[in-house]
Amino acid sequence: MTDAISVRLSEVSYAYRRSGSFKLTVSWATVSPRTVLLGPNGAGKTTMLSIIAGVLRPASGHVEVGGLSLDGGDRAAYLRAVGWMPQQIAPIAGLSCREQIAYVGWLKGLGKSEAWDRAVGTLADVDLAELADRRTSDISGGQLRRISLAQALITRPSLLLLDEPTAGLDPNQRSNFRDLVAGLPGEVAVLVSTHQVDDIADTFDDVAIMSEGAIVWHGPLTRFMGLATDGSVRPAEAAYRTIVHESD
Amino acid sequence: MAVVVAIVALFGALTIPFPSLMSSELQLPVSVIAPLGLPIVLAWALSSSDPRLELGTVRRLGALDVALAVGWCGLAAVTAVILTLPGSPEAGLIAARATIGYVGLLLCARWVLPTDAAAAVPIGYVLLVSFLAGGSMRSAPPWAWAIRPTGDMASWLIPAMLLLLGAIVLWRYPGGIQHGAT
Amino acid sequence: MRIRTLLRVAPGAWLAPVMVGLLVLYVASSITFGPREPYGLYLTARAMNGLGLIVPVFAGTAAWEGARLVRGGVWGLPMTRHRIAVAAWSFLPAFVGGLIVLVVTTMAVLVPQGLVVPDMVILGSATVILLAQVALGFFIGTIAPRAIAIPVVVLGSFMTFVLPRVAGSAWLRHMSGTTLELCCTTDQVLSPGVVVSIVAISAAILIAVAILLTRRPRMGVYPVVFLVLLIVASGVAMAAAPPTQRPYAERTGTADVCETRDGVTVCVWPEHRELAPRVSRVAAAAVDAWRAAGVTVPTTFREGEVDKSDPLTAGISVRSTNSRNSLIELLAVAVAPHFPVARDEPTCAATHEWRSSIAGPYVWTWLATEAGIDHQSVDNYFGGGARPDSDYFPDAPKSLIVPVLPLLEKVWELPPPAQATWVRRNLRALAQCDVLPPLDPG
Repeated sequence: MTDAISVRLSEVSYAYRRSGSFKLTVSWATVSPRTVLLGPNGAGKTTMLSIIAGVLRPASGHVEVGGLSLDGGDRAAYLRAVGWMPQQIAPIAGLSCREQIAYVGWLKGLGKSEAWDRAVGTLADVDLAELADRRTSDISGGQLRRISLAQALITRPSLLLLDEPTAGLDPNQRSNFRDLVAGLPGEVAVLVSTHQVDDIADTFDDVAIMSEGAIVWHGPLTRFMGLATDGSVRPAEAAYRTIVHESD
Repeated sequence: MAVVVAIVALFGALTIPFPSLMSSELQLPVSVIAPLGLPIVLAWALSSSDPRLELGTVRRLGALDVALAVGWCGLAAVTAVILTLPGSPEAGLIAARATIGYVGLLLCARWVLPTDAAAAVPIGYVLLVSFLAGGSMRSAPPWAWAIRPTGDMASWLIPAMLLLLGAIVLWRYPGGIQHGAT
Repeated sequence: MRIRTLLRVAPGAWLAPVMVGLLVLYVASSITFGPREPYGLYLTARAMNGLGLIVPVFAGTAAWEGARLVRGGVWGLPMTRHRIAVAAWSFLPAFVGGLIVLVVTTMAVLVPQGLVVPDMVILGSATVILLAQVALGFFIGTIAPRAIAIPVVVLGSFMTFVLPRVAGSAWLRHMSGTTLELCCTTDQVLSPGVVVSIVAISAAILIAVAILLTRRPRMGVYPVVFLVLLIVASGVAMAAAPPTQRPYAERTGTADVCETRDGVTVCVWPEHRELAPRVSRVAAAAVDAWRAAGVTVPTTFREGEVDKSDPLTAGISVRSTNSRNSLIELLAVAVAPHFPVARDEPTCAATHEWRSSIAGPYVWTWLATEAGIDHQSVDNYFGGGARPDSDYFPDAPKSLIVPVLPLLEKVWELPPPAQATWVRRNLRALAQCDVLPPLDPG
């Protein structure tokens, strides 16, 4: 059983410099160990996860994970407590899988030798131990996603943020990836953004839905599935459409 | 291209002292150096395409790439002819020859190097010329075609051959070394 | 990143051995174009000939590193390390590779000259230039497409060494370090203006890079930050040490390697220790000849600072390349200092016009001839009716600017005591400023 960890966003706002039309304004909290964030393209899922990950700095508001504040004196501890797997994954030219993971560990504040040692175990966690010495530029897209997951895991975070982790993967790879996430250590809570709603029932406890830069619905999976019209072939999709249409 | 032409027209005949192994320094005209900007821009253009996407297109994008590179050089040659009118023929011809040769070098280098790195090859060539070609332009060996007198036929033949070879490489390997042959 | 990883993946690390070979060859060949003085400052400065090649190449590899991080999405990752620390580790191989090449080429110049200690101020200045340009190269690699960043950094950096050579501005040449290689003969030291210029400009570049890497403002702000910092740095440097056209200043202190022969003492800088016997031999012979002719001359010739109030001491600056003839010329100038060749002008020349200086060429020719200079040398200077260049003496009466050798012929026709009197009177005049020399031997 995964431990719960609190994620709290208080009146967080963010607007992109070059795109005046989009504005994120979120006040939201969850203590669920496995939350999925759904929403149409351009809803602000990636922006919100990027803010929680510490990649984007909000214009206003306050972000807290497990009692650690992003903008306080404990920023370093915060960033180590939050693992981030972005949507776009790129190999760092010339580095092997182990080197790339160790490098990201070092970026997150681990000592060089500690990061180097941890990289082996982290590669094993994502079932890529045998590729430790292979260059990241020479591995497949699915393997690269696992490297990215390993990067997020190297600091042994309490919260893992996965942005569209299975986008572009074939059904088999998707299933493998889902198993991988399901098999993560119990102390790691997961917040996943996706718009693939068909398989969320097997993996998540909580559902949040974003639309136009705001959280429009949040609740337990059971309540979410209850929103589906009776007899739906794809109940999760039906529930999702109900909420999104209501919010429109 | 416009910037390079302006520099050649205004300062083409000026010389700049470059380091040399053969004498204390070698005076290189601006018209040899300024065209180095053209292969850089061309390399950028070539590297910003998506070769995997282009390999699957119906349009002959490889031919268009070759046309871009050769057209680039053709434009340089025409500009050189125009530059000969106001009275600085040497600078214009030197710049045209340099453009042809540098673009040829870039395209040939893409055979063995990623396009990004190949862009530095013409610069490496100019440094090599500066280092090893001797103390004066008149006594430069044939391989230092960029600084030979413009009346020397071989100094035009070598860059033309480089461009031809480079165009063939570009035709066969439009995505450069990383993406193989069509 | 681990050191082993850095060494494996960084082009700066692979290029260092190649560059060492090329640069040693280049610097070793270029040093043959100058005199060989075992003076640490001079030799280190000559080794800086290679700076204009080392810096662009390693700045280019730093651009590669910057582009590598951008392509790998590193800047988009949440990190607890400061961006400057991440950048510094990334361009470390480029910087260290360049530094190794710089040090090895310097040693390649110094070692053949014996146990010469490199000048740390020059090496330090070059290191600062390397660091600033490598950091700038890295930064450009993070903002420009790699196909443009690398060649632009290599070419741009190379041009910062080449273009200032043709620019008239000393400031431009100093700040790029182009003038380092022009420093210094044994009686010179590096001008503080050069060091201040280099440090100020390099600091401005480093601060701008640090600000832009950390703050990531809009693209349009980048040139503004660089421009403002460069202007401020220029102002500070100008105020601290105005740059002179030349990269050197006079070396202070007194030469203390002395050799006395027949009552004549010659003191040279330690770097000229091996020249002392030869110089003192020529000086003793010359002084002996002048004394025999009845002319009282200094008995001590010294490099470095001299006490101008002591009539028995004169200043000289010797070179390892000086022949016997050129040593006699130097000694004659030391005895009869005149414009523009005087090493030490009389004190009065600082405040008054040195009108008597017109006597210099005539007295110098007499002294040099008396000391046994090759007649061909005198002919080279004043044969064919040559006279002092009137441009140097715009206020001298035309009657005084006469062909040198014909006037000397008249002097040489006088009996020796009268010649000595003519020389003594003109030497006295040369030491004053407001008098016209009694050149007419009649």
